[in-house]
Amino acid sequence: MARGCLIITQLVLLASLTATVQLAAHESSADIQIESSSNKESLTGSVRLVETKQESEKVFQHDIVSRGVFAVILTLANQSKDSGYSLQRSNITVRTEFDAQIASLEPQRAYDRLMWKIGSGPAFAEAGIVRAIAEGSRKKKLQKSVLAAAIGANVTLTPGDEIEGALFFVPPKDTKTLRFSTLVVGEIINQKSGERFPLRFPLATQQ
Amino acid sequence: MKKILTLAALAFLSGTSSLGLAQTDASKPTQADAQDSAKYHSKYKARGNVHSIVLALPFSVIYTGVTQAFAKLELTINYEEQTLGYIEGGRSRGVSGEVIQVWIDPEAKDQYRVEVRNIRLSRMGLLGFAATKDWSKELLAAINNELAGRPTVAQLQSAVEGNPADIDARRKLIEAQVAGGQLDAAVDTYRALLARFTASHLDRVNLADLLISRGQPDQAIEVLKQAQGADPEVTLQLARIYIIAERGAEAMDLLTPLAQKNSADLKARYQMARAAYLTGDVPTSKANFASVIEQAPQHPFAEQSKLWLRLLETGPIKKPLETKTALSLCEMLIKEKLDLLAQRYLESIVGSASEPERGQATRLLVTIYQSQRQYAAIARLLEPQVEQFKKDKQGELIYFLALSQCGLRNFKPALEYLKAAKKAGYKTPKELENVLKGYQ
Repeated sequence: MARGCLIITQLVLLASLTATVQLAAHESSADIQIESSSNKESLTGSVRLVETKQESEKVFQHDIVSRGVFAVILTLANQSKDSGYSLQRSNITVRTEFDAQIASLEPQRAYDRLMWKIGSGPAFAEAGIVRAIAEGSRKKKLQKSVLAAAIGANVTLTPGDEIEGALFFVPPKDTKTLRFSTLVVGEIINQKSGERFPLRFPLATQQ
Repeated sequence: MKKILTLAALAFLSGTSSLGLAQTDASKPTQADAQDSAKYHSKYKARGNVHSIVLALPFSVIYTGVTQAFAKLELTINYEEQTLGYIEGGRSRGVSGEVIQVWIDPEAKDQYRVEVRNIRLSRMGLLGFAATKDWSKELLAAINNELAGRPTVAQLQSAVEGNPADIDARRKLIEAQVAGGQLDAAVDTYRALLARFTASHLDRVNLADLLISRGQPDQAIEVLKQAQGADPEVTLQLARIYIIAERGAEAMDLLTPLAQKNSADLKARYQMARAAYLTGDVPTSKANFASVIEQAPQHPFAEQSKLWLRLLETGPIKKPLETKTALSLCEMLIKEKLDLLAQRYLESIVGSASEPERGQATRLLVTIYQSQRQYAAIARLLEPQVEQFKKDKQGELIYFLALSQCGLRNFKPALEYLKAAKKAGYKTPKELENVLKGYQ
């Protein structure tokens, strides 16, 4: 897949009764299946990495990447008939290929970052009417796109539910791409059985 | 609408032609300010008049509370310096705006003072100024609201004792202990949690991370070894920590079957090549690095493998490490987030090598200390050589020294070092200099 393009990884997850999920054999193009032996309930998930200006403008109608913010769009669907699942945003991280951990940014802090230094000076100290208008317009746009797209702090998936939301990350200076990294949901709770298990979504297939 | 535009144009003209930039801050009291008994002159002169509250909570909790209060009031944070406990933000209102500065300073044992200063700005002179407001009291109230009722560690401890089956209560206790710097207690709480919730993968991994950050890889290994199930990610993680702990042979024992089972597992193969180098097994190391390059030439592992192969040309690793080899190795270890291992090698070089290797090792070591917030270690390492750094125009090292003094809250020398770094040719951030002036 060309560098910088939108990367989609589809995952089909079957939550296991043991606390461990294991990578199964099926792995073609961007598909990975995670299976367990005993639980028939299932979660379907996908991730999309947004780390280019073009993709960012497509998804958020705004270039967040040039401001040093990358996004991952996480989609989860609960296909079970009787089990709910829950997760917390604070438990979601990106683990790079060299095992650096990047915590997800609070949506408001991502928004703050995008509001930094509009024009030639800081956002709050306007240098004139034009800049103030630009700031006002950006504020509204970002509130609608970035803040509204963010995944909630606590996510609950009732049976049949599907959610999609953005997670924001500021990669370390020496990290140019996250396409070799993995999105780690540190813990998902099966509300019926109480089972807690992690989920991992490679942001690209191995090359 | 027309009326508003006319008014705006008039105001703009008046602002630019005669009034210019109207700026007031809390240090120039208005009538409303005069009625506010809570406002006082900060002991740091440059801050002027401020409002404040004193809170008996850990620093990181207060810091988070302040950022959340900004968000609650829909104020944008425009600049922050977490080491110093400084946050600056505001809200523009069309053609006028406000600057809100917050400082979090230690007041007494386990107490911090939060000072807030509000500056009102307008390009439109007095008309624009009228559209701004003083956020000081509102912000302090929001901070209070955010942090009110925050349970103490003792209360959280009681909650755990009262309901030992509640994993979230235990996690809240750990969070508070970590925030308060009670790391030994946090480790104990984690251990108690894992004794009861043995399958909690999240807590096991978090405890291992905490132990590594404390320089205790052997303990981290013991924690991960007890993980249930056959999770390849945990195996890779464990192998990585074996490498950090210089227990390469045990890393090889874990990685070999993993790489053999799935030849496409690039990470296992790469880690195996790395572990083989560190155990002195040159043929296995070379074969696996070459295989990674062949298998995924575009992957960062391939790029890094080439560097490892270049290092391998110097022969097998021998201890004590030859200085040049050790430096090349440390650069790679740092890139691969094996800081703890690099730190051990670098400390040994700094203590024994001569220039220029010593200087290079010092620079690498300082970046590790800085990332681990080991400010006292930086000061110990750099301060005795500061005059030499000035002569040699080693501005970057003087800048690190300035940062370490910020971390140690020695603001006067921090500012002096910052200026010296600038003089030595290092491009220091202007914002930091401005922030430091707020501590004079």
